[in-house]
Amino acid sequence: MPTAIITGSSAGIGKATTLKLLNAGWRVHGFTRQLDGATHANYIPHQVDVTNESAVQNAVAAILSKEQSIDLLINNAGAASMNALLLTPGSIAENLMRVNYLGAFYCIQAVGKQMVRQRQGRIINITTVAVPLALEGEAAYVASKAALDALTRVAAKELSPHGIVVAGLGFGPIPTQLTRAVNAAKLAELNQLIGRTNGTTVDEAADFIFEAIQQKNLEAGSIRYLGKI
Amino acid sequence: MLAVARYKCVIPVIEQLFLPHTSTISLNMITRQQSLALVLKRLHHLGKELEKPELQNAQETTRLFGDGSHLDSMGLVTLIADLEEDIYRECGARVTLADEKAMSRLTSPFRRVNLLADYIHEVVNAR
Ligand SMILES: NC(=O)c1ccc[n+]([C@@H]2O[C@H](COP(=O)([O-])OP(=O)(O)OC[C@H]3O[C@@H](n4cnc5c(N)ncnc54)[C@H](OP(=O)(O)O)[C@@H]3O)[C@@H](O)[C@H]2O)c1
Repeated sequence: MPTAIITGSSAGIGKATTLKLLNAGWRVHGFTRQLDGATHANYIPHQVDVTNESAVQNAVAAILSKEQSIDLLINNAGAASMNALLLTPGSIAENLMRVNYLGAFYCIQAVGKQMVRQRQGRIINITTVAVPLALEGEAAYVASKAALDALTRVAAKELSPHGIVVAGLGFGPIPTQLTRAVNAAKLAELNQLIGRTNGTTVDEAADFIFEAIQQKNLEAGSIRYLGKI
Repeated sequence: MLAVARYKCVIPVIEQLFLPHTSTISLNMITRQQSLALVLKRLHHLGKELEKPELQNAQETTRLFGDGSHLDSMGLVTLIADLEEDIYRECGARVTLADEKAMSRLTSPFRRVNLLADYIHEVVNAR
């Protein structure tokens, strides 16, 4: 049975993707701060704050004591804050960097070593159209996701000789907890800009991720968006 | 894409060397000799995989990484990832070999076989 680790699997895009994988016969280990998510025999939730390096290492070690391999890592756990640059508290900028960039960094390190041992694996980092669009009002979020995108590209180069494909998948606005506080007009404007006038549902996002996972020739280091960029 | 799966040809048969995956692994200390044996065994497999006889027949003085060495950074990553698992299977310790301590040493433990064996011995027993 193919095995995945999905961070942020208890809600939004992560939960929808987890369900798709479970239905397709995968076993999914989920990393979230609150133990929650799908109820399914092949869903194993782990209480892990991805910003805590040793918690990530311990959880991956625990998984490896039971699993023969980890075929897929999806770095999906994320946080956002919409705020004018000059009004964004430094602590918020720091937290976004920790969750969106460092969290993925720790997970890639811990899981990547196992994938190197396997000489195969796939890592997907979830990102946003806000980076290429350099969206104003989201400086701290955009910077943290830009750091993640840079990590995606470098990790792809370093890990592809080991048989590991690293790629990014990005989205425009999707109605989840993450975007609940964002002004509807702003979301509509952004959807218009990327050619998705009807917006994107979590299910469509999960389909996009699932297709990429199945794609044999997913290009290492590529960052693809659901929408026109 | 780079040379994908350059390492795919010979998957090391680590299971034949150590405990089966599902065994209960007890926490053990490690002797310097065992630590050296782990490094040499792993290099033997890696040498075969990379078709580098110098690694296959490595000795204490064999250079690993840095000037005049036999491993590129990709080879070093493979060696360290594989060794961390070997250490776990041998003595139940989940260790990170490329830690801050290793990075801050004047002489890198990854430079030569003997230094790496010393380092593994030190790290495992310091748990
Ligand atoms: N929604 C959008 O419009 C949109 C657009 C583009 C990209 N994205 C990206 O898509 C990803 C998922 O977003 P979403 O909208 O689905 O978010 P969401 O509904 O808010 O869900 C976030 C998930 O991440 C987990 N999480 C948050 N911080 C964590 C931490 N420190 N450690 C472990 N887990 C953590 C949450 O669980 P706990 O709270 O229990 O930890 C939850 O499961 C994010 O990376 C986001 O940036 C979203």
